[in-house]
Amino acid sequence: MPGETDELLAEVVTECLEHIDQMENLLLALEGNAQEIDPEVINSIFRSAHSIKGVTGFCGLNNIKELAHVFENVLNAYRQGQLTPNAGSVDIMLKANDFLKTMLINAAESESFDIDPMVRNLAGILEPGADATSVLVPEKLTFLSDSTGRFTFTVDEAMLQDRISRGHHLYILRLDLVRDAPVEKRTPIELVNHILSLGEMHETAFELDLVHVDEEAIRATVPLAVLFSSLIDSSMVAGALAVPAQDVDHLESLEPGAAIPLARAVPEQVVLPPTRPTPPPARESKATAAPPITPERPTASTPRASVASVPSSPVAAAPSPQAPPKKATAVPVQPPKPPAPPEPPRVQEPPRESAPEYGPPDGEPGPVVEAVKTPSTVVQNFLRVNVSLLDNLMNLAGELVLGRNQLLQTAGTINSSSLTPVAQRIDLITSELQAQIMQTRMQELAGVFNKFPRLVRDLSRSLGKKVDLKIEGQEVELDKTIIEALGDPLVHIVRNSMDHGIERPETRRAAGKPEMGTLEVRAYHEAGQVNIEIRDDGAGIDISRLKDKALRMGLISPMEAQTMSAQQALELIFKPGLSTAETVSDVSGRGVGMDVVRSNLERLGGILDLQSEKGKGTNTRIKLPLTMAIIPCLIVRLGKGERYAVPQINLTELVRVRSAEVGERIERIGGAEVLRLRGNLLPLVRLGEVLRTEGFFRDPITNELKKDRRQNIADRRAGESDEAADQYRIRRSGQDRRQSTSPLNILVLSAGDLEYGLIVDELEDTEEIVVKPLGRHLKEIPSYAGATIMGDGRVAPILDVPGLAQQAELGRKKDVAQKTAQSRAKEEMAARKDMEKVLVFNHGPQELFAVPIPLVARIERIDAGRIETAMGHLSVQYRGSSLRLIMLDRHLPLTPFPTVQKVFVIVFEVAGHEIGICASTLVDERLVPFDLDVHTHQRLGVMGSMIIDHKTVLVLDIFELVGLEEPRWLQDVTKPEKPATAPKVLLVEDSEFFLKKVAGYLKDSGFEVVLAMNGREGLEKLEKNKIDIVLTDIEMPVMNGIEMVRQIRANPKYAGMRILALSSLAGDDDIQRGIAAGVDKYLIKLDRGALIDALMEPYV
Amino acid sequence: MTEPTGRSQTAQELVTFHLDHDLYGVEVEQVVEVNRDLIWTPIPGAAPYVRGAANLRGHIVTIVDLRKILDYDERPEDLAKTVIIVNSRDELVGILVDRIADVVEADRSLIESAPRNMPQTQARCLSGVLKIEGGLISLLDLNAALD
Repeated sequence: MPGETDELLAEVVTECLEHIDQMENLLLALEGNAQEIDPEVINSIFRSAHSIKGVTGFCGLNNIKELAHVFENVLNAYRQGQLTPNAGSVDIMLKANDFLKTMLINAAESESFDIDPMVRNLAGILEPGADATSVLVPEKLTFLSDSTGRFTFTVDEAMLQDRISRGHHLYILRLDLVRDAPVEKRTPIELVNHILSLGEMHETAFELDLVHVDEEAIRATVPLAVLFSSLIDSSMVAGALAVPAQDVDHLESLEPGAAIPLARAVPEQVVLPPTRPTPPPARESKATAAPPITPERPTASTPRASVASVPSSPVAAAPSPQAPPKKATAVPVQPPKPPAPPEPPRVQEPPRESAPEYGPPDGEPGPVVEAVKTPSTVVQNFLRVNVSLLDNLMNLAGELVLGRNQLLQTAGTINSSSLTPVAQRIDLITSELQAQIMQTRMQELAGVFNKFPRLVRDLSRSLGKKVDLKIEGQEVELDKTIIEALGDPLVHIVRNSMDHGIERPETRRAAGKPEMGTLEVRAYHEAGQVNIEIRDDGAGIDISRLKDKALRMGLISPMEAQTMSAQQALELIFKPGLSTAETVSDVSGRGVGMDVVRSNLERLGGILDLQSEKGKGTNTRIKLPLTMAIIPCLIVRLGKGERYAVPQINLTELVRVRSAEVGERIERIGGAEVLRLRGNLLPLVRLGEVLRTEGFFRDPITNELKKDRRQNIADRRAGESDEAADQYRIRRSGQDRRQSTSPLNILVLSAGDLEYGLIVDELEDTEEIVVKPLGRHLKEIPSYAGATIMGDGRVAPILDVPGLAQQAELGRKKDVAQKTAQSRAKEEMAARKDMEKVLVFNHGPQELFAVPIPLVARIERIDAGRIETAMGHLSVQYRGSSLRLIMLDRHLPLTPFPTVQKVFVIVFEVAGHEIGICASTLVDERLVPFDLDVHTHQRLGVMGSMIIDHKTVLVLDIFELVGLEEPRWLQDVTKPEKPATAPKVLLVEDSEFFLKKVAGYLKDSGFEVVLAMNGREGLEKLEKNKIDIVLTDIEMPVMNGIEMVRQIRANPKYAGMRILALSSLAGDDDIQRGIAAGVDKYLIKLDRGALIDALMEPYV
Repeated sequence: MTEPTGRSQTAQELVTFHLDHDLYGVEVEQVVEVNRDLIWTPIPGAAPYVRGAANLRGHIVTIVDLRKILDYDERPEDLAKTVIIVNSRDELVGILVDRIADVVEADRSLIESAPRNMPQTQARCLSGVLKIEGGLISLLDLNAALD
């Protein structure tokens, strides 16, 4: 069976590696608890080593077998109490274990490894100074032959005597790998495992000459004999092993001649009619050094059924003192029980699996079924299945769930009495099936956790630290995919704790802590999720050092460093490039860690939460879903429209705020809405808003669809986008109290340390949904974690709870005080695009107005008494001429101008005339995003309104005010003589507000206007249209004005094109850059007169 | 979709379709199917040319508006929703077009490069131009157009 050999070898290796891992942990346990040795631990290691020896010998991996053998000898010495495990010897054992592992991993080359040094080391434990070879050869050897004489074993007699004295029965089993394995539907490895589960395999003998492949016969034979000892009674052993009874020799003692063929352990009542072939003659068995004799081979034709007909006389003739075979024949009706070990079980407990449990009959052929209910029914419940098969099943289950959902929906609408019950039944079965299939993919965390004892042991040695590792919850199960991906992140966290967390003993002592640090790794279930906690009682994370480092690396600004909360500072550890260790060690690496750890965990649908207290320790908590492919989600809706799935894992609770309570429970701090929930303030996010902020959003005030600027400036990623968002919130704040009169559905969501409320329009059911990946065009959107297909066949996006928080910039909302500080800082810095400096002043005490500072010529302070009235106009004598004044209450519905001693006069120059606006007090000079609400306070003379410091401020339109005050001044400006054909102006401006406003001026003045929102669009429009004049903003996304101007100037097609630039705050540098690029003239955005003049210039 | 044997090495079958009056072609090998009754869900936050995501027999397919990509005017409301499902970079993408036209057999040697004066937005998406009787077929470079 050449093809099978590789497969067999692979299985043997897998199997052995499992043992190796187990042995490693047990050895560590032995080391850690040297005072009180648990005999069961030694027994377990012994059994594992023994299995390795047996199984590898089976495959001709002799090096491994021999090393395992010596290994086992040491364990045997422990077991017998001849030696006591100590740190030194366990260390050697661990190294030997590692060596075995290496050899197993390279099984094919294992024969070329030099095991002698390792053997010598182990031998040194047994007998200091002894020669290695003496260990390999047991002191007293006995040769045993089986009853056919074809197989001979060389065994340690003392060891066998030991087993016999403990009530074990000694058997020689003749197996045939071909016959016994496939027929019983088990692989050779399972056969071996099965045997091992029932007892001990001492030696195997493999007779090459007997391997026989008959070309004509379909079957080949690969015979093999096993020297086996077990507590199982001779009457049951053949059945239990599911091998023909004549192939089991029962050795009653090691005396020469004592080995006799096993009784045909079959109850009398199942004896078949004598038509069956008679059994082969009782076979003589061989013992000691007698040369093997070869009696007649057992009739190959003897079918299994014939076993039943064989009388049990041979055993009866030589009854075993411990377990008379009579027992089996005498009480056949009695329900089978595990044979009671004749000695107290504490001496040697059989491996747990071997405790024979009797399941129901498993359909073994023939009448033996009744009597021989074998333990094999239990053991064989385990199958090795290819993972890809499970994956396929999982996918199919996913499709089935979709189908089920569709069926339920259809059944719901049809409402047929015959369909409904069927649908319900399918529903139940599908759920069950899905759960079961999911179960097949579940694995214990032990696979991951078992790495830790060794890791911690080695690390504590190399770092010179003392650490007590406590592991809990190894039995907790998770989806295979998750378990596999979990290993590296967890190891990283444990390494971090060991390296940066737990201090050296002397440091600990100095800090008044016990020298021995504690590292706890704990897994437990909570609310359908698995939590893993890694907690150390070490030094904790030094936040100030973390901040320093982040500051040095330019990850945060000094302002942020000052204002950030402790938890936010702790979050810095997840920024790429940060490592808190003072020296880079090979243990925790170079700080490429925690960010990768977190993103890896989040990819698994997990949440990483870090808590640390300086001097007290660090606690890392990971929340994981049980499985990834199918997740329970709450389906929500926006309006009557699209559905979104919210993973249940992130959902803590649902809150419905009744309309009557909205005003009371929803509050506003800064620009942020918060919900008062059990005394805490929960930041709120409106799903509709968050999603729309990425593209278009509906202005809640004007109800018009606006293009969000954030998308435009995303590439610049500077402060102004936040500022715009702030402004948007600020603007909303005045409105929402009126809006929020409908009840609110709030999903309380948690993501890491972040908790927020998501306001949705409608809640639907909870559904088990199948997670499907989004295509590459959609994958990058942070708001979504994937998509699913709903019962009606439509797609619904799955919301990414941390991603949404990120979109809503909740990081800042959490700490409102900090937010204010930050936005101040930004205000100071952000003297850039779309920001306009305005002068805020009072008319009456309550009435706030603002004017753009670039339009202000100067400000005067005059005595109120100097104001004169003439011809219905107000004016003041000033520097020898008369300055016209405007009292705003003359043109706007305001309270009368207060009686004050001194009046501030804000002077403007419009169409060649000076005019002053009267103000009672000047409030402030502010840099604000100039995106005005042009609807709420629409009126001639008012450009629009904005909210500054929670107060409505009206921005004046000086041009219009002048028009109201003195229309004649403007006549020649507003009604220009139209050229024969209206000049076509290309207006390039990214601010919606300015775009509209300026386009309005232009159209009023008879220009034809083509609009573009950025430089690139401008160039495209320029190509398509016949443009006479280009009027452009400078700071724009995608392509800025300077670049666009350069390209226009570079194109001979546009030679001589008149290009004017608009700027709200043109610094000299900007102007220089603009002129250099080819701008003809700079204009101030809101200076309507100057603008029109400049445009008309060529036509006048 | 299988190439009949005996066809010349230089022959290329094209699935052609219209945007306004312009004729475009994609290689038949890249086309999975033409679908007229897909229903897609808009995905807020996606690029403007992404119309949404649809379910095609259990796969999530991104639907893109080719008119937007190639800088045509806004799609007329009354157009039938004809979607060509193509395989691009190992995933399925649905391309919303105006009308599907014939499958055309083209001689590779007759394919010319796109005219130089074509706007960059369009030239970027084309692998060439093919003259046929009564017009031109612009050959769409799917991967370029969809990235």
